[in-house]
Amino acid sequence: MIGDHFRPWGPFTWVLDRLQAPEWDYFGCHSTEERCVGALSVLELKTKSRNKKLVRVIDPPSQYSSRSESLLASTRTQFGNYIADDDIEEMSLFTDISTVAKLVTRFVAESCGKVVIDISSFPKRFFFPIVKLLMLNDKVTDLVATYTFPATHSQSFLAENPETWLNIPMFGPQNFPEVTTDYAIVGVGFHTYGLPELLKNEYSKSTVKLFFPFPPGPPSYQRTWEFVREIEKYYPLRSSTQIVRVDAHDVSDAFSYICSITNKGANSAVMAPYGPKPMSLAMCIYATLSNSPVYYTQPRVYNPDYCVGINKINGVPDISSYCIKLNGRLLYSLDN
Amino acid sequence: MDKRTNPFHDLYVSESIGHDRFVKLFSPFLVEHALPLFDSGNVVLLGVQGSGKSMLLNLLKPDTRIAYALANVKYPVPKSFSNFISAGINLTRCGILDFGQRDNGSFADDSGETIPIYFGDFLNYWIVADILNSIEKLSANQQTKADLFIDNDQSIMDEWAKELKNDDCWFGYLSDVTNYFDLKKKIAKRINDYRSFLNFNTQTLSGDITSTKTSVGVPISHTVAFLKKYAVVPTEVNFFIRIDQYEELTRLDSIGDKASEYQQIINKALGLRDPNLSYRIGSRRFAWRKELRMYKSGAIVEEERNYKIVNIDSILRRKENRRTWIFPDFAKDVFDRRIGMTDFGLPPKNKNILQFVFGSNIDSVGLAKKYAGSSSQRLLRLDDSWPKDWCDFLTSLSSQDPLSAKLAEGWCRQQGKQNIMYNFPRTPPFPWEKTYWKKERLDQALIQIAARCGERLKWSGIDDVIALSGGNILVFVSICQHIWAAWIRDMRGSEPDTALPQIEPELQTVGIHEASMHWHDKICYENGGNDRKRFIDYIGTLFYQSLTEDKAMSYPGNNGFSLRVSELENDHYLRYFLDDAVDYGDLHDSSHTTKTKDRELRRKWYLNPILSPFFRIPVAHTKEPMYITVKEVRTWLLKSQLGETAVRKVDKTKPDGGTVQMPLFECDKGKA
Repeated sequence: MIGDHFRPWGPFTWVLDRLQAPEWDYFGCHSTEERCVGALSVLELKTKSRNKKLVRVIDPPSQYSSRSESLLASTRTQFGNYIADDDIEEMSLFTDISTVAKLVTRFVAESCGKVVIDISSFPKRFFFPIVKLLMLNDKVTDLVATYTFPATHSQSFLAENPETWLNIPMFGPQNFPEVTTDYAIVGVGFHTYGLPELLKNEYSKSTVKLFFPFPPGPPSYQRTWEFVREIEKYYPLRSSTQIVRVDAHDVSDAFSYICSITNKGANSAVMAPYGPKPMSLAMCIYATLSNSPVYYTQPRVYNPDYCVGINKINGVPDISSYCIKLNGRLLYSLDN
Repeated sequence: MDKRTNPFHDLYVSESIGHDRFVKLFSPFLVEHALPLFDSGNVVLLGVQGSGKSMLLNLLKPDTRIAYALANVKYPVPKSFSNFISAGINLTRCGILDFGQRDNGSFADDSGETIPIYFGDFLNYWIVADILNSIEKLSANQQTKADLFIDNDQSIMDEWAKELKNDDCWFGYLSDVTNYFDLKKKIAKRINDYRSFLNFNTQTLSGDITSTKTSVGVPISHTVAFLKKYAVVPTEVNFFIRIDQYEELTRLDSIGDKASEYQQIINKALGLRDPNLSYRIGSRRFAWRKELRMYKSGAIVEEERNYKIVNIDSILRRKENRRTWIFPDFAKDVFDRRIGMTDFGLPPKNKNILQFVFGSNIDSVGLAKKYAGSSSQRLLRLDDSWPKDWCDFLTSLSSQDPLSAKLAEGWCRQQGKQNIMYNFPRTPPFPWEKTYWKKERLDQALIQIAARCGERLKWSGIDDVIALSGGNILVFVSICQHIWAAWIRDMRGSEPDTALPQIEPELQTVGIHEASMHWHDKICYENGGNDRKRFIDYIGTLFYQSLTEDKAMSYPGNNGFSLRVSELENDHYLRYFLDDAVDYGDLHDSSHTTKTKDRELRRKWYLNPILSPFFRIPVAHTKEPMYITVKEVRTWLLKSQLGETAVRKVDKTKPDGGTVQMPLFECDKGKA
C-alpha cells in the first residue's frame, strides 16, 4: 500500500495545509543567516506555534566574531515578536551534547507532541543529535523537519579550521567486534576538508559512494565537481556507479538510495555528510535507525556570511519540509 | 599496468591492494633507522604527517606481517627484533572520546571525576580484545604461527580463560565466564554497552560496569602474563600496544574538557613500566610534550626512564652534513618500488632509476639564460646615476651571461663596493664571482632575474625533487605523482613507449608547480589550518618581496626568520602557534647559532620546502635568516588573520619605501 511508504514532503506551506494541525511546537536555530527566520515566519502565519525553543550557537572567538554579533542582532530583529528572548538558549559550538539533550528533553516535556525542527542553520553537530532524540522520543507524535534554501552561498570559505575526522556525538560506532565497513557514503558538498586522504587511509577496503546533488545548477556545480575531483586524486573511483545522483531536496529519495546501497542495513556503512542539509538529514535518519556511525571534520568557525538571504520561488520563500513522524508513526524504516 | 596509469596515483600503500602488491610497494627502508620501535620498552614515535610514522606503525600490525607471509617474502624486520605481537586502539575511531559528551549525572557514581577512569577501562577492554584478535589472526597463518610459536589450541585457551577470569584486576566482571569463547563475548559485551551509552542509546551504565572499573594497563598486563604462563606464546615474545591518534586529543574541542585527563591516563600506563607490555605512541613533536603528567600523580613521564623517542623528522631531514642524510636513499627505494610495478622497460641494473627519470638539475647559468630569454637587458635595474660605461658593460654582459650581470648589479649596490662602477675588469675573473659570495646569492639572483623577466621559477632534476620533498616521503610521492600526471597529459594521442621515460625539465616544472599548489591548498585541511594558511601566505609573500626587492642582495637568507628562544618562551600563544605550524609540517624549524653579539640561543623557521615553488622563493637556507622580535611576528600574525597582505619595500634608497618591514633589519642597519 502506498500509505505505508509515502513520506510526505514539499513546500512548507503546502505540507502545513495538509497536516491541518492547529498548533505546533518549534525547535530552531538563531544564527547569523537570514534564512533561520524563514520557517518560523511561515509557521506563525499559517498556524500557531505554542512552544518555541531556539539555540544560538556561538563559535569560538575569531576574526569573524564582531561580524557575527552584528548579524545575530539583525536576525534577532527579524524574528521580532515571534519569539521572546527567553526562547533562545545560547550554547557554544563545542558544548557537550548532553546539554543539548537536556534542552530537547525539557522542550519535549512541554510539547504538544507536534514538532517542527528547522535544520536550516544548525551545524550538523547539533541537528543530528536533536533529530535523533526527537525521532526516538515517543512523546513526539508528529515530527516535520524544515529547510530554507538561501539566495546564495558565500563564494569563499564556508567554514574554517576543521577538526580531525571524528564521529558526530551520538553517532559513534556501535557494534563490536567491528567488521570491515562495506560502504562509505559521502554527501558531496563544497569543501572536502581533508576527507579524500581519510577515505584512502581508513576506508581503502570499502566502496565509496558519492551522493552528488542533482540536478546541479550554477554556480554550485563547479564546486561540487571540484569536490569529486579532490576525492578522485586520493581515492580512484573505479566505477561510474560510485557517483550516485540524488535530488538535493528529496530526503525520502536519498534515504531510499542509502537503504538500497546497504541492502536495507544488511551491509555496514559509515556516513560522511558533506553535502546539502536535506541529504544530511537522510543520512541522519538512516544512521539513527541502523546505528551507523556518522563522521565529520567539524569546523571550528563558520563564515557568518555562509549564505545570504532566502531563495524565493514566485515570490514565496523556498522552504522544504519533510514529514518524519505522523500520528505517532515513524515514516522511515529500513524495511521500506 | 597500462603505461598511461600513474604509478604514483595512490599516495598511500595499504593492504587493500592485495598482499603481493603490498609487500612489493611497501618500503621497509626506515626499519634499521628506527630499531627501538621493534625492541622492548615504551616508544614515542615522532613525525609530521607523511614522514613515514604510520608506515612504521603499520609494520607492527599482524595484517602486515601476514601479508609478507602470504606473499612468501621475508618480513623486513631483523629476526632478532621480530619476536613480537601487537595490538592497538585508534582513539578517534573507536568511540572512546565520547565520554565527555555525557554529563556527570548519567554515571552511576554521579561524578565527572570518574570519567577518565571509564576511559581507561574502555581502553583496557578494547586492547585485551585486540590482543586476542591478533593472536587469532597470526595463528591462522602457518608461517606466522610457526615464527611466533603460538599455541592457541582451544583447550589451552579455555583453561587460560578460566584462570584469567578469576584475576583480581577484573573485579569480578568476568566471573561467569566458563571458556575462551565466553570470555571474548563478555569483553565484547562490555564494549558494546559502553558504545550504547556513549551514543545515548542507553541512559546509564549498568551496575556490573560501574562496580568493576579497572585500572589502566593492569588487565592488559595480566592478560599477557597469563598467555605466557599457559605457553600460548613464549615468554620472550614482546607485546607492543599501539595508541593511535594520541596527538589529536589536545586539539579536539569536540570532545569536551577531558582531553588532558585522557592523555594523563595513557601516560599512567606508560609510567607503569610494565615488563609485559611496550607501548607505541605516534605523535607530532610538540603535541607530545603538551601533557606529560600521569593521572592523579604528581609525577610526569620521563624520556629514557618511561619511554624512548624515535624522531622520524630528525632522521630524515637534511643536516649540515649531507653524508649522513638518508632521505635520498629512502626516496630512491620508494621510487624503485613504484616503477618496478609498471611494465616499462627499465634501464640497466646499475642505473639510478630516479636519476634516469628526472635527470640532473639545470645549472644556474643555464637557468638564468632561460629566464632572460632573448631580451636579457630586462633583468637589469640600472640607476640613472651610474656611469654610462658601467651600464653599457652590464648590458653587454647580460646578453652573454645574465647571471653574472645580475650578480654584478648586486655587487655594485653593496656598501663599500660602489667603486667597481668606475674601475671594473672587462673580462673574468670578476669580483662578484668570488666562490662564496656568488654561491650565497645564486638563488636570490635567479629569483630576481625570473621576476624581472616575468618568468616563473623552473624546478627540475633529482636534486630539486629531493630538496622540495623536505625529508617527507609523502611529499616526495606527491611530487612524483604530479610530474607523472603532467607527462601523461603531454603524451596524449601518441603511442606509449615501452621504455621508461626521461621526463623533460619543462614537464617537471609543470608537475612541481601543481604539487606545490596542492600542498598549499592542503594546509587548511588540518586542524587550525585556515589560520596557519593565512600566516603562511603572509610570510611567503613577505619572503618573496624581501628577496626580489633587495637589489643589493644583502639578505639572501630572507626566506626564513629567527627569534631569540628566551623571548619566545614568554609568549605562550605565539610559541604554541609556531609549534603547531611545525607539527603540521607547514614550517620547518631548527635551533641555530646566533651571529649577534648577545650569543643568545635562537630558533629559526622556514616554509615547508614544497611551498617554495608556490611562493617563488628558494629552498636552500643560505646565510642568516631575518633576525626579528616576537613583537614583529605578532604583527605578521595579526595582519595575516585580518586578511592584510604583506606589502613592503626593502630598498632603503627608495624614498617611498614602505615602513612595515624595515624594523626587521635593525640588527643589520647600514649594511646594504
